Amino acid sequence: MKHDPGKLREKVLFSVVAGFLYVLAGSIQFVLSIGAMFDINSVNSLGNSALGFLFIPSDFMGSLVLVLIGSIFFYGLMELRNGFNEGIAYVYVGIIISLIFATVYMLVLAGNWMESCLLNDPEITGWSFIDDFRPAIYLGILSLCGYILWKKDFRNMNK
Amino acid sequence: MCAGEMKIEKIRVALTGNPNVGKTTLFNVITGSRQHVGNWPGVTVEKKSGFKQYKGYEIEVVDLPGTYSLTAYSLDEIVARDFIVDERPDVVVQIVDATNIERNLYLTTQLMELGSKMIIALNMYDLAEERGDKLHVTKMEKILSMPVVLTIASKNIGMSELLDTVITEKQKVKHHGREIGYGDEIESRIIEIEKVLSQDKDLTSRYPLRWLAVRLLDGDENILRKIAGSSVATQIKTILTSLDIEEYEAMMADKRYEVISAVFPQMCERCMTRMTTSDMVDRVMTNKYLGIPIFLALMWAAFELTFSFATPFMTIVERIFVWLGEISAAYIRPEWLASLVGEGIIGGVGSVFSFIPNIFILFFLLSMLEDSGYLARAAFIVDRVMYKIGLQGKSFIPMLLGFGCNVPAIMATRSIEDRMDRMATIMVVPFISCGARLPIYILFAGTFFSENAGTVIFCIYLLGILVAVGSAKLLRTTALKGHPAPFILELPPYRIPNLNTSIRHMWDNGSMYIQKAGTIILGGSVVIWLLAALPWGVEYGSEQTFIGLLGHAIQPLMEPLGFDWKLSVSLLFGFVAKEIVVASMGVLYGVGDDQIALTDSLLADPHLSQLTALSLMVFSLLYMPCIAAVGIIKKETGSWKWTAFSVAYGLAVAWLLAFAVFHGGKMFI
Amino acid sequence: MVENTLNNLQPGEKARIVKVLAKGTVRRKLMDMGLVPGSEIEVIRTAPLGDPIEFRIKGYSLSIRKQEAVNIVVDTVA
Repeated sequence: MKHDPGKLREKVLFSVVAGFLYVLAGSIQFVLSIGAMFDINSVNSLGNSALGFLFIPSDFMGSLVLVLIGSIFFYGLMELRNGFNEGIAYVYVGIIISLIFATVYMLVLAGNWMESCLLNDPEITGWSFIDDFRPAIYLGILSLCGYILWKKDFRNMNK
Repeated sequence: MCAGEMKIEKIRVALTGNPNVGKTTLFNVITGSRQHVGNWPGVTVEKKSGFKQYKGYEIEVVDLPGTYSLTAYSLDEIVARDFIVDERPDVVVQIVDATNIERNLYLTTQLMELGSKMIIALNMYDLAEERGDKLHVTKMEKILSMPVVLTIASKNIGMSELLDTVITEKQKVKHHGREIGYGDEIESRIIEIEKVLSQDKDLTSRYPLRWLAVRLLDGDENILRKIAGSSVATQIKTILTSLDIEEYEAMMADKRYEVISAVFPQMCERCMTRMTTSDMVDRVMTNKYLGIPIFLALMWAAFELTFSFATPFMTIVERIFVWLGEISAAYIRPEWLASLVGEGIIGGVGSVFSFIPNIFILFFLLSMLEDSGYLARAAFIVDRVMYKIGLQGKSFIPMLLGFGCNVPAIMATRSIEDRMDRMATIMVVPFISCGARLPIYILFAGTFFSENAGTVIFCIYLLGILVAVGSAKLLRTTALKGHPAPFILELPPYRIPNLNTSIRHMWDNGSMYIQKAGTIILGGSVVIWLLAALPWGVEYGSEQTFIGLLGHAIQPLMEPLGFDWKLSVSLLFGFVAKEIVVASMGVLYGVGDDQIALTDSLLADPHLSQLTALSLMVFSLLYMPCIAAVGIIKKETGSWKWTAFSVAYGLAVAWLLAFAVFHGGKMFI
Repeated sequence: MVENTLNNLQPGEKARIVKVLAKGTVRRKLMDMGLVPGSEIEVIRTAPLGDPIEFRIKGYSLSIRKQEAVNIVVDTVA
């Protein structure tokens, strides 16, 4: 199993960045969801003001998913560092799973958007794009870049 | 063209093959929308057939169950081989996975003995070539003495070649099939048994004798039963009892594989095993630490899509039915008829259709999970846990399906060969909260726990799983004592799922649900309307109607759970189908299908509180399968006793837990 | 020849099947899936919870529980 060292370095770098961002976003979301669950005011206001630009929702399950995706990237890093080239597979799976979740949340967003504009539902008015825009979606763009860049490499990982 | 003069020739083709070789995709590509789904006579295995008009021929394609072998290990195998032997299709097409020829050929060696004309469709050959395999098709044809066609069903490649070959084979007068030679010792036995069998005219005309002899030596009890009534039964029995059949069985399986490994290298060069992309992906997906979290995350994703993504579609469907109801109220006269149509029929059907989006999405996702190869990994990952609770990895799939609808879930238990395992799974599936129960939770959690509705609903689902687990354990130590059967499962390579197959799967199961809904639920809705409208002269849905009287009659039983007569009546009608609970509440509160009005009426009802809502949700989760599910339980278990047990057990558990929630909750508030 | 049973092998180890001790339908199913004497089998991994085990045989992946693997005698000399 031979890999182009340059390409390998790219993937290592990608794993570091993506892993860090996913774990970070996941941790913040985790804290915010705990804040919302137990009604801790200081945490809630933090999410609304200081970190507002990150569009992080207080969704508990979602936070675990983000941390998991980050962990997959980090695990791959560990394998690559120990000299296992199979570590590439972790980058691949990490990308696929993050894309799956980006798709899931985009579909949910699209559904809510459709509902709010087609039906003008009084329950949903006040829904805005921002409500459903979340790290799992915008971090997905990073994964999408990785996917497009290395699509061929991943199909023939074994070579 | 003059249609009257042309006589269309018919060809009947049977599709066989191992599981996971793309058989369903190939079947869908050939037959398109001209399909018929039914059951094999007398058994509960699904039968799919379809038609294709091709070059002046009417080709009927029968999709046989996917099997690894034809040794009568499971019902699927018996159905498949009985069709070939008894119905004598013109041509048998075996779909072979080009990336896994060696194992696939094992089935070929057995199919050859059935004496039909055969064609091999070497499917997914692109994947084999991509990884560097060299396939020698002509050599393969020569060795097997049957035509081999290269296909990629998912890309619609090789289909017309396959159909052309079917037509050529059909026109051949005689085919020269090759059979496995089992070596001197076994062959002499085969000849001996064949000679005895040939004395019976009936058997001679119905079966290939060599095949019968081989099966008998292979210890096939199903065949033993087939010849039991014949004139040579006792003679055969004496021969067989003098032999060590288990020894023969091993020798014959051995021989088949020996023959395969001798010829296989000539058919395929460099087709050795090596690390593939799929294996590398598997390292991650079944990783010691990450495997379980990934599994849970994917299940959560499926859950989010089935429920969160579906909500807007549900709203749209509901709107349409509300609109239809308004129209019928405005234009239909006399008024009672408008009420019957608007509230009874449109309301009832509307409540069914409103969660069609859930069911469609769920079946779509399940098909994607299965085609991608992940569903088998899911069984592999959870088997340990499932085994601990007295089930097995394969029980997980039906239980997952149970979240969509218990009916297909109970049908899916057919993949579990062992009867005890299967029975235990069937008994616990009804506790898995199906899609039909969701409208009840959405209504009550949404009304009484608006902020935390999601969490409450999730907890209800969790409770269902816990009760299922507890029940499985209980059953395994009492009525179904013993350990689960062995777990021998292929983990197919990961593949990108085929969109068309998933859509097809979604459509088939979705429409099956609509059919079921169309009859039972429509009927149920009309019955509710009648009970709520009769006797003549009383106010619709009031306490004086039949429905009110019925509610009062069962009231003493439900009182301890905090339910008033309206809730009792609604639950009573949930027996017909759980989705009717919401519809009937709409009727009882006199708001029809208008969810918002229903929410307001529920909030205004002084009998109802958060605790009542919780108690009701727990009760609805557990109390008994709907009529359709009861019907399928009877059909699949083949026993009224087990069916009755399932109903009674569910009711008892539901009552006890709802009681505990209602009174336990009181202490905290 | 070093005889062992399949459950005792470590991931990555290869062996040749000597005998299938299982009885009845289990035995038949195992044989149908390619577990016949003489076949080469390799341990790929155990499931995250420690059971079942994934094997590679005849070019495909098969999973079997430990309690069935006990009944398959193998020769571990490559």
